[in-house]
Amino acid sequence: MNHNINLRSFLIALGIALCLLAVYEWYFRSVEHWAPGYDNNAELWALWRGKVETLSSDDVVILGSSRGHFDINIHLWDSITGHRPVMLAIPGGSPYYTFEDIVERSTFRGLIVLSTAPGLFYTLGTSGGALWVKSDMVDYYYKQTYAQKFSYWVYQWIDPWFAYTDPDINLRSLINRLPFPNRDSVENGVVWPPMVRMDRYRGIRMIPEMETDTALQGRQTRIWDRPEWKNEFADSADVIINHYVSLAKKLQAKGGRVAFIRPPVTGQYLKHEPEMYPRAQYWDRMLRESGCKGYHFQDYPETRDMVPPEWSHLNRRDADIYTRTIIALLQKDQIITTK
Amino acid sequence: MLFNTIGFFAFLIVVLVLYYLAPLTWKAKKIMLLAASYLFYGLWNPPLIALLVISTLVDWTAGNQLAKTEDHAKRRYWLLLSIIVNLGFLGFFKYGNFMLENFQQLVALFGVEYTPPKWDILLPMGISFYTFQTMSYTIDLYFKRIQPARTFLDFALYVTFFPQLVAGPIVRSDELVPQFYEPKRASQQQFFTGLLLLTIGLFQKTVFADSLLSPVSDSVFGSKDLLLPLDAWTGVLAFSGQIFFDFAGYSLCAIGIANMLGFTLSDNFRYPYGSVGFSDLWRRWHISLSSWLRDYLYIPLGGNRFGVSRTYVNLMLTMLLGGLWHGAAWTFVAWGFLHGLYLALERFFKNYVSIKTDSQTVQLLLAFLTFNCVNITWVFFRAKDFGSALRLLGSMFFLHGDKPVLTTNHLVLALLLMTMVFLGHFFMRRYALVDVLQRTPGWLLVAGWGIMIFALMVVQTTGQQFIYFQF
Repeated sequence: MNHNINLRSFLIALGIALCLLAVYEWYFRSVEHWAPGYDNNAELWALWRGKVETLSSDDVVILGSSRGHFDINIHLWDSITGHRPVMLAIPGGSPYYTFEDIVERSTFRGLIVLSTAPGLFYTLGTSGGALWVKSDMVDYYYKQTYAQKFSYWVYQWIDPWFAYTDPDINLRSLINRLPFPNRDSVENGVVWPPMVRMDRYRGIRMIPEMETDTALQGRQTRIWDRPEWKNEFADSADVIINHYVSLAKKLQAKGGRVAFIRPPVTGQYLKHEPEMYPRAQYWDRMLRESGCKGYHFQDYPETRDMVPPEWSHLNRRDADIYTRTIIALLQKDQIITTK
Repeated sequence: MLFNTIGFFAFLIVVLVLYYLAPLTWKAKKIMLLAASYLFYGLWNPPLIALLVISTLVDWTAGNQLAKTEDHAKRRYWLLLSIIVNLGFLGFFKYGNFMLENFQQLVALFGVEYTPPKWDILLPMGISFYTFQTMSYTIDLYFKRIQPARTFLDFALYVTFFPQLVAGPIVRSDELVPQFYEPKRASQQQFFTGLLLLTIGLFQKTVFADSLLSPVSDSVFGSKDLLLPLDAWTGVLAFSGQIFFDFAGYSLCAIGIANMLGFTLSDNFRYPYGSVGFSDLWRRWHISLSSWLRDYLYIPLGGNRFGVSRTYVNLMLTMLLGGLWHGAAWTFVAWGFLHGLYLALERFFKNYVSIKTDSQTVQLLLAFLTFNCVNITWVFFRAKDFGSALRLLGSMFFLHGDKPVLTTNHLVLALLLMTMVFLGHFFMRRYALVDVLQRTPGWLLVAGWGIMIFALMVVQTTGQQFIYFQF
């Protein structure tokens, strides 16, 4: 028997691990352009969800999916209005249950800015995009243990310094990169390109490479594009719209406010979304029935011709313009006050 | 608290610093370990610490009375109290809803409509483990197999010792309690062997179970389609690997952490998928539970002492209850039944059929047969109901199904890994892991250790719960 298992062997092993980690981090930062930043995870969402209970009626909560999340600069909003919105929009998720949660279960009586990305917004609560938000985010917030809170408290000191901690490049996701061919009717999972960087307030900015690198943009638009564009919930429009309308009315009855926004898109989204979700039957109807204000990007010269680099999300410059425009509109309609 | 979270590492570092560097007496260190164990448990759900405390107080009192009194009736009373309290907790928290549902179905057979109240009962983490552990203490005292713990502190620490509190190994008191009597300090070799075992356990859990195999088994067991046999078998194999790496990984972590504190816990797994036959399997899979069931259920039922028929009945009863221990559902009972049946058939054939099993090839074939029979039982273990289980079994045995559900990447990875697991277990089955590690050339050990630490740093699971925590 040898006695190799000792402090020395551990230190060498640790050294090997750190060297490998340095190379790994360098690769994802320098070659693939992943930026260090906070993970967009349930723990950070739950942290900010908890802060909603402390907000005043002058405060703002943003709900929705990635367009609402990426296109509004919450720090710019803070500098203009004096109130930094609590960002609770969730990429890839429907606001079906987050809106319900804030209206039904929180003490919040301020302004909810509800961002609509039709494919995720106009879905039933049984859709995949709604159900995962309910289980992984909303339910997680209520069931989070002290152990999970403590773990995240430790993790948040490490997370922002590294790029490799992004969930889109964790081991499960990297399996999707293996070069085996697709089977009939089962395709290997999506390999996401890097797009944004997030801070501890869940504020998000597009990375410069996505703004300028057409190869990266192409990778993303190929993911967005699909053989068939279809509104799976066309028959359930009444139920879906009633859900949002009734919640909006409920918040208004409690003294709160709701404003809907429809952020800019281009490419296939600009072509197909109006066909699948006709404005008169969805957007206009929802505003009419809820009595809330809504700001559609096609209604304003500042936002009408914006061109998101990958069809769906704004670059930093346009996100700032879009944020200023929305604030100005809210101020004009006296939904928020000037600082 | 979960071992596979960064919060646990912060917790462990603080415990190790206090344990080794703070100027504390041995008694103060044990109090610190006890407090740390309650914190470890309470950070999940603080009120449920009360169950641990009650279990500790009842079994400590019962144990002392059992040690003191010779009066047979009183001894029986104290033993019954311990068993009723522990099984009462288990029955209420784990089987409460199950029993009500079955009662409802039973009375419905006689035309009685009864709707039981909906209980929202939270299953306390690890309750099946610590109740069995503390019961073994009072039962052993009743049969005068052990001495009572010297102090309440030693006993309380035995019940709550955080490395093995929530998912075992289920440690007998004569194995652990005497280790608390004298000051413990791990040697450098023991400490770093423990750290290496912790690394391997976490690697098994986070890389193999959670990242590589869980997506495959989740896809297959979550599918409502009639699947292609290839997909069905791959999903079941993946679950077979997932549950092994998840649970064996936890046990290795527990043993490793105990080592780092200077304590020794016995192996809980010994390459079970290399087993040749089912009695061999149960000497290798969840050893602390199978030996518990043997000592406190099978042997008290009579074991093999009352004839052939009674032996088979005892075997089957033990496995049925062993199945039920894993979960409050009839699918777990079916899992236990299949294992009972396998054991009974093996016993029957061993008595009447003579097979020469010396050759490596025959052993490999028998191990392969055992492995696949075990895989069939996992279908009932993992499926959410009998309908899903039978649908999947139909797909596995070419009765129906033509729908693929797994990606090529997942298929290739899962099949490759599970082939390596089976062959690895078969060829390693005569060795103990620690011995293998200590015989491994230094350069290889250090390189492997470094790669595993690196993998743990980059795997980024978000602290998925261990499967056995729900049992």
